[in-house]
Amino acid sequence: MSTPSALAVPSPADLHDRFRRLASEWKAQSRYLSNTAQMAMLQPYQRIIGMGAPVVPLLLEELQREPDHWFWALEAITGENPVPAASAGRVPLMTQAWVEWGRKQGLLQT
Amino acid sequence: MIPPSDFPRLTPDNHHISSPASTDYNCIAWAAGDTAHWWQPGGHWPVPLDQPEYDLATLAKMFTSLGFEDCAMSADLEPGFDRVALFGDSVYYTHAARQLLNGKWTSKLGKAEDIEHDTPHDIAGGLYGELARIMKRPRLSQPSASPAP
Repeated sequence: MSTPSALAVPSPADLHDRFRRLASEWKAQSRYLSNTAQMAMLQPYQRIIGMGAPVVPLLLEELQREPDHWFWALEAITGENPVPAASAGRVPLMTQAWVEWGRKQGLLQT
Repeated sequence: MIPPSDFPRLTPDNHHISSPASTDYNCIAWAAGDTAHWWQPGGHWPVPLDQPEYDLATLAKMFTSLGFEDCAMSADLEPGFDRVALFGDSVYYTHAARQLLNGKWTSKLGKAEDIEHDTPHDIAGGLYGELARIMKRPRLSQPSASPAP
């Protein structure tokens, strides 16, 4: 029995393209939202979470490039939360914590 | 440009943009006078929660903890009182706005800009749903830049 194409393992290029498209859709749909739960339930965000561990480096690169509310997705996929309690809600510090975590994990090169 | 599909009641005559866009704070923080945090249950939130909830009741309870109480949906300017307007639907709170000293209102639109608008109703009817509650408290001072959680 062949693997359905929708469940096939994507190439790195396909993964990157799919992430870029979904991230762009999510940013547009969430631009005027303030409730993080509502933002995280948007379909593009849920699809990014569904991409699983392979998307984590792309999420970290995107977070580093343009800080945004990717923390929910990162925590959902990795089961980690490197943000100190004192930094909760401070987006630049939350970004910094996740970027440093990514470097320690070898998921970010710069 | 703020999309009319999301904010069908905003017109060039009833609002203007009053800040650059920022992901550093949201409308809840802005309504509480904070531009350093993104306020959300489970993250930076002044009320301890057993489980994060994201509905209107949770939002109203938080503003109650800051000294606000319901004021029968009155959006009138009342000297000596701060007012906040809360928006939401059956699942989520969607927005909070704050009354200015001149009687107009200010809103941080998600990750986008702050706007000043004439009434709370100007931002209703679209993405934020309808105005659900208005709360007030005696004015303590000017909103601080970054209140403690």
